Amino acid sequence: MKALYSLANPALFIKVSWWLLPPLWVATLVSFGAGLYMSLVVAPADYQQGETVRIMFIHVPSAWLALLCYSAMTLSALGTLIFRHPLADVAQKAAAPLGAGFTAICLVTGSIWGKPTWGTWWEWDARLTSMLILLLIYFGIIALWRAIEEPNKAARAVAILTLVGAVNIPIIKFSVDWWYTLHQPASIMRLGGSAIHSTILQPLLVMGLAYFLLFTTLLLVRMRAELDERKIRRIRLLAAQEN
Amino acid sequence: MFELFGKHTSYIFASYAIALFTLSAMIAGSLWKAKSARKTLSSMKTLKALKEGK
Repeated sequence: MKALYSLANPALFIKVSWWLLPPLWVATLVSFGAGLYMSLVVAPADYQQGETVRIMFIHVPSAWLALLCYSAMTLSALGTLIFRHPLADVAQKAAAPLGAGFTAICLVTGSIWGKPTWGTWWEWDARLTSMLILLLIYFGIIALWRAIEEPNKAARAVAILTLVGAVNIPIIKFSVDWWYTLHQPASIMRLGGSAIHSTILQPLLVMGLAYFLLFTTLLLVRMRAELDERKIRRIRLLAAQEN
Repeated sequence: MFELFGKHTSYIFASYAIALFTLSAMIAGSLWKAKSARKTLSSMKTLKALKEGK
């Protein structure tokens, strides 16, 4: 716990992230290259879906990251409200646009995949609708950050909104079990192991790793930028007080 | 028509193009935000130093 609090120091975070970013960029680039090669060249066509299964390699990791990002934001919200962690709201503000991006990719690629597979671009079923609600929650969080000028007040308001919106995460995950949906049930993270053949699972996991590395890299970049913007705000306020 | 992946080639290319474009926009946006903040902060520090006569 003490180590966690020592890492909460923004100056230390700037120093550590400066060392972490170059290897993270390289790892992201390499894993994306490998993931795209495996998805488009190595992976075989599915016996049922044919070549359209390749859309899964970009659709499913974006869904994972959309949920992971929101889960991380929920932890950050708790960090802001309970522990008053100095980097918690910085991380939350930095993560929201990234989560919205991954959710948008998930919805659009899912819609494109749905047309040849289900015969429709969109269906108001539980999984698709709850993912759309997640995107709207992300937009709401981004709007709330912009609407309140004072960062501490904005952080508390956004933390409460994030915690309320967290109800949607288990709904998304279990929607395919709780309701009869057009969307297929869980085939990787399920009791009894993965239902996907290794030749298709491997590219999916590599793309998942690439998405995760990209998210981590961009989160660090945006957190550093947010810390800089808060310094700028403090300098401007001090200058205004002096005048 | 160019059909690398059979009759569904256009669906596959469209989804990869949209995903990669969005990811690129996320990267560009984050890097621009970081660069812009660093530049403003650096010029403010220089201005402050000039005012203090350093």
